Amino acid sequence: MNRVERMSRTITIKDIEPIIPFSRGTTEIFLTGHWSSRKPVYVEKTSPCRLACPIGNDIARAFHQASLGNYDEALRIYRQENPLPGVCGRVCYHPCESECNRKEFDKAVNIRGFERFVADHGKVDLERDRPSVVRRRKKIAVIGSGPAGLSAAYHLARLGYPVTIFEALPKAGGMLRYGIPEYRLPRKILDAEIGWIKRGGVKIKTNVRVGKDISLADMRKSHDAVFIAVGAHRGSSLGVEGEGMPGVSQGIDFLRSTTMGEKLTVGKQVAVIGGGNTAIDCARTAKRMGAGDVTIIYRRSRAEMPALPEDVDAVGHEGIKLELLAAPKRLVAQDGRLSGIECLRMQLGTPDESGRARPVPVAGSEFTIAVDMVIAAVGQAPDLGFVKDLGLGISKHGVIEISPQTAATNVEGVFAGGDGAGVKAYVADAIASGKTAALGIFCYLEGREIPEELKKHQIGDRSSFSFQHFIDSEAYQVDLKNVVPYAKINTLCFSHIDRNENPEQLKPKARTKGFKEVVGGIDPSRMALEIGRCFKCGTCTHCDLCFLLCPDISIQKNGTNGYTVKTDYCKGCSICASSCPRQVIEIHGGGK
Amino acid sequence: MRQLLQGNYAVAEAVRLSRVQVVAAYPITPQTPIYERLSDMELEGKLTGVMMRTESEHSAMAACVAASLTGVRTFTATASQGLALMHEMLHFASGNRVPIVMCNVNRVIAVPWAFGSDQSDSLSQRDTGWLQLYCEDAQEALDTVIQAYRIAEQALFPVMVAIDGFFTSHFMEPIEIPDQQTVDAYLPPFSIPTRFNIEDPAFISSVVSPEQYMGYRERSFADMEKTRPIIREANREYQEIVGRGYGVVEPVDTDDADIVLVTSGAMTSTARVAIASLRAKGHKAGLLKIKAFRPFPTEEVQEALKNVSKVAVLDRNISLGKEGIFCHELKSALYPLPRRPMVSGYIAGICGADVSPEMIEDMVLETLKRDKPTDLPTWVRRETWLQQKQQ
Repeated sequence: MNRVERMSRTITIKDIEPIIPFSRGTTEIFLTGHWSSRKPVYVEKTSPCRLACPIGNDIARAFHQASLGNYDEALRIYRQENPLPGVCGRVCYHPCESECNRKEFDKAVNIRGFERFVADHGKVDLERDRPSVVRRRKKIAVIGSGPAGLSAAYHLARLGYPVTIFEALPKAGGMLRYGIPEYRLPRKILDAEIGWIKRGGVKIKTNVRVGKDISLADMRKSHDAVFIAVGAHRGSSLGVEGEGMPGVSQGIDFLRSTTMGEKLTVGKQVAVIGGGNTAIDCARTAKRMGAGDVTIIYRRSRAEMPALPEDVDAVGHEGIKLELLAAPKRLVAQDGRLSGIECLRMQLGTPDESGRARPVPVAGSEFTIAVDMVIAAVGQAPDLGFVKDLGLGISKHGVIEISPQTAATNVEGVFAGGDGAGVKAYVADAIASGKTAALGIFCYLEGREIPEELKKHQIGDRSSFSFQHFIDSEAYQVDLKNVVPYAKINTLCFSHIDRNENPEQLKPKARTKGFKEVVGGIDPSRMALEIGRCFKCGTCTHCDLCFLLCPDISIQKNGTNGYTVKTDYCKGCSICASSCPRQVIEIHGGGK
Repeated sequence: MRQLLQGNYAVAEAVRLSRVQVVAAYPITPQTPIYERLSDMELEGKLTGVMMRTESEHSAMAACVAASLTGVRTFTATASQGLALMHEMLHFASGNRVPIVMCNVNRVIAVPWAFGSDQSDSLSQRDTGWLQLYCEDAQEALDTVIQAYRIAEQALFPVMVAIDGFFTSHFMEPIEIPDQQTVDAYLPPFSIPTRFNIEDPAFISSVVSPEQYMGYRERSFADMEKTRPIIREANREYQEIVGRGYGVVEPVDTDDADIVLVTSGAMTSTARVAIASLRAKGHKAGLLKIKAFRPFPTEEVQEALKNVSKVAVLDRNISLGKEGIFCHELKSALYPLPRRPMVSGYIAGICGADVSPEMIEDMVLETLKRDKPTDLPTWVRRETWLQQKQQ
């Protein structure tokens, strides 16, 4: 070969193959992952908001579906646990937001606003969308159509039981209808949600008062199980002199009468006694009914008021006065008519059994406020005369005694929940107690052990559980015990964005002219931002970060259905886990 | 054509003349002017290939490996920290037997942070399976880059051409630039079109068993030995066609020498002056310039030093815990000789510190006086050297 020939020689594959590692076969004979003891595990987890929610709403997963534009699916996720998202999205005390991981980053996500949005924009036909369970024959009666009763009936119907709700009042809804004014919860929202519950198979008989129209004993005989959720519709007395005179009403009666459209005359100067939601609603209702001056008298300071801070704010906007650290001593009459309320100034002392500072009267601090109407809203108790014929146990607080895990009373086959059973007096807690009762009744009727069932479906270490997990834990692969902490959120994946509040859709002056809803929904364009703010803790959003960043071939995509960790080649580097924005992947093993 | 050019630009001219198709690089002092000049050429349409501006030297080398595997001629240039960052990919290049040519502009390695010339950066890459050629001046750099493509593409090994930072890279010298026709006659187009066949795909850099791995290593070792005649031949033909040439070593006045100074790179020029001065003073002194460091020119070194009784090795580098690296390699090359010269090591010019011909003369004279070899090198710094002179 001469120089040119030698140099223009083309190098071929035959020259290369012997000198460089060149494979046409598989390299899968070297399972290099076998030398590592640390492995990623891909499993969906629980968000702290869900842990905080008494109902156990699957919030992060609903946010994820909404982020894809699937509002119907987001609503369906809510309805797996809660039949009343439109109600909760308006009136819930949102403990979820207090535990939202995002609050460590900037501000908690507007989760309540989201639930309302989903309820208002999504549509799920509950007649068709029911779990495929057997049709069962055992009949169940629910007494009371408030949140606890509706929730129990809804879940029991979804489990296949024939359920009938007996409601004493003309319309279903209990406190939702007769205790929460329309400007906070429009009736069309409540009616629609009750309508869906009925389409889901629940029968509701109104104007049936148990104890009068039918005895509890008879009802127990004709049903395989009974759930009592009668609420607390009897206002507590003030316990002061002059309480019996005209011009003094009970807050809960006042709200119910207003809802029922009874002709009421409100005074020119109204005092409302109490610091809870009923007191706030009475004051705002009185203002709307034409009262001149409205004053809320509360014995502790604003920080101790059980009402939601945003509702207390609303009171100020509507020109209602707050007389804090004051307690009524007696009601004063002039010419046989109520003319004033004599109060004592209070100061805060040592905490009482509720943990709040005890109000202590200041001697000689009496002062009088001129009033012509007093509304007492200092607490409510259930009317439980009708339970006597079955011998149900009543606690010293005047509520039905139940086992908190099973909702069972001392009488076999009879369960109770909600305010009437001393459950925390919030809508969400009432709904949660209805869920517990539904599971308790199921276990009772089917001969299962409720502590075992609860343990399986319990969310974290709280009293809430997941019905979706209970119904189909095979398909619903979520680790309910593993709650994602803020420290496990990869915050590099998120940027700071202002929280989107629900707008006030009426100017303060216009608000008190009627009962139109004060707070509006968030419009879809702003809601999209809020949906983007949610970290979706523990819910895989198929962002592909793990798949893209794995230096090996250990994260494999299952089409649109998440990822599989193939550990044959995984060296345990943990990049997938540390890059996962929401801790769906975590590392197990190692460190022996 | 003769032009006044700095060494970096001379290297860029060589890259242009070699019709390189892919240049992937990242700027770093004192190599940056190569990168800049090639960019200018690309803009002016003078470059046959394309510039890939990567985000790091590691990526630059990865890009060169990939491009070269597809059969195109590739070039990169770096220095110091950049070369250190490339380290992993240097093994990929030699393991995949890709004929990449790289110019490394020798610069000291941090820490402390500094910029002067020092061979520690490239010598740290001794065992990455690259050929290493050290150049004395800018003209040699230009000629060596062109030759490097011939060697690399015939041997299927990557070649590193090292020049001294600032001394060679930035000093302007009159440079003879061969015309394109001449270079084309020397360097035919590089082509390995059938290495990849998309109808019959294969995986490169695959995992192998220990037995297979050792087989590849043994094969590479044998092939590296076969580069010695390829280097010789490449230089001979270059000399024939272009008219200039450089051996893997260059002995100067070694035949009758009692003592030979061994050095490399830009410092050789200073040593030439020192040796000439010693000769003028009646000392039988010689000089041995080492150009090829890998493969190490064992035979040539033995041949040049077999009759010499004393050798002084001047290193612009240091291996902590041993000595100057050229000195160390030289000692091991001389070991098989039946009558070995006494070798003394000197460390000077670290980080581009000044080394005058007088300083080198003194090293040679000191070695001449010595009757026993020392294991550790002697450090020669201008300041202390001047103080000793005054005493």
